[in-house]
Amino acid sequence: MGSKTRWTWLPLATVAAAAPAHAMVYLSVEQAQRLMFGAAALEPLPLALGADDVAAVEHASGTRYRTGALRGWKAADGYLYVDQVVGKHDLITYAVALTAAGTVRQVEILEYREAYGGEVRGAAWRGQFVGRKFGDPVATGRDIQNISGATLSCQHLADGIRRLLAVHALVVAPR
Amino acid sequence: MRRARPVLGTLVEIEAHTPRGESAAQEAIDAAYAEIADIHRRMSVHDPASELSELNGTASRRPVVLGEQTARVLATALRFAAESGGAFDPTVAGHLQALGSLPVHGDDALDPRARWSDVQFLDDRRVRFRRPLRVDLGGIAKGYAVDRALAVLRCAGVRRAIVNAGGDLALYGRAPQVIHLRDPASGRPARSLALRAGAIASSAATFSRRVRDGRMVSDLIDPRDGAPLVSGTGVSVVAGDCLTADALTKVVLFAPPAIAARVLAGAGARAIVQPSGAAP
Repeated sequence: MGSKTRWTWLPLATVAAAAPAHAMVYLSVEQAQRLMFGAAALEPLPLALGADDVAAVEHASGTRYRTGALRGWKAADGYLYVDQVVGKHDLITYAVALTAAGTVRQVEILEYREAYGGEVRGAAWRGQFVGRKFGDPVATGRDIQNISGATLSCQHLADGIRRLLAVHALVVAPR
Repeated sequence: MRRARPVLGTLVEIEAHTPRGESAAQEAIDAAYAEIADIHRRMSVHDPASELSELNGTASRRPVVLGEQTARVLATALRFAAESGGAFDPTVAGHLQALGSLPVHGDDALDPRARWSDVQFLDDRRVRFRRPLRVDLGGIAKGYAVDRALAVLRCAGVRRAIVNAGGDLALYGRAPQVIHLRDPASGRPARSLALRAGAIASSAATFSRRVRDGRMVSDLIDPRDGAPLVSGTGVSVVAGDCLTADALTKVVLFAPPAIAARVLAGAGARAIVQPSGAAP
């Protein structure tokens, strides 16, 4: 097998700095649109949910609805949604392509940010994202790209997709 | 070009670089994700329609013919089980079911004495169980999916690629890449190494550790007594392929050191053990 694999230890100082972040921007919204819908025109969906809508979505999905996180577009042959979920240790911005019938066709992560020790839920840490545009480079020299050793469960991502599907089915599709 | 999708119960990240431009890289990445999804469909223990579920539901009553890939992964799992004296055992599903980590399909009572040697290949693809048991390829199929995704990228002419399925990672390319290893206790990146080609996988009970019925449990089960591993030790294995690396992390966690060293040497692999951190 791989006895030819060459590997060496690196000094550890580069990652010993306080609160290193694993952060990646994978795709901009525009790149995700192209990837999922090609050159097709996309028309923004107004997603200002009334109190009744929010209650219905929360009841149907079993998750809390955060105003302002979800954006949506309609294409000729489907829908594109961009949403954000905040977990205990991470923040994920993701895009979901739905077919015209409202079933999930594709899920792509746009941006993933991980922090350690609960910083994600802290306002200061989250403040880093205020005003960020998609596609902005991940700036700090402490960003870490390749990590072995999973803590990711994706449970909150699954919750987010369930909530997004509830918004689509209860609010957008009946229009 | 780097993308990430939720598959295999985690985020799977694929990076691909080709001189033929961005759309060629995107197509190659799409094909690699399709390959991963195909392997997941065949080998998922959670999906009642998977080949593995068919095997588990039927093979204690009559032989089941597996697809080539599932047969290959199961045969590899059994080989590592034999080499490690059962320290790696793909038939721990009964224990995982008892701990609430795996779904129960049907109502077959599993034989608690069942072990890897009760899985019998009648030929390359036909398998039967000598006792009622469940095979779980979770400790190894993710590594295989990573290997297959990387092979798809290579076939598509990608020059440099990384596939990382929640820490089961394989790559190739000209220049070494820095890989960070999590500290098993804190989850923070704690050590790093450089890898130019090959694979690395990591296991630690802390990644799935939780309290159930007043007792600390995890998804890592000692196959010999069914006890969940709850220590904070973390193991990473560097090997030529991710299937091997994935399986050998469990061998190193559970086998006596002399046996683990022999299995590692036989596979051309190296282990990095991060000792137990603070107790929970």
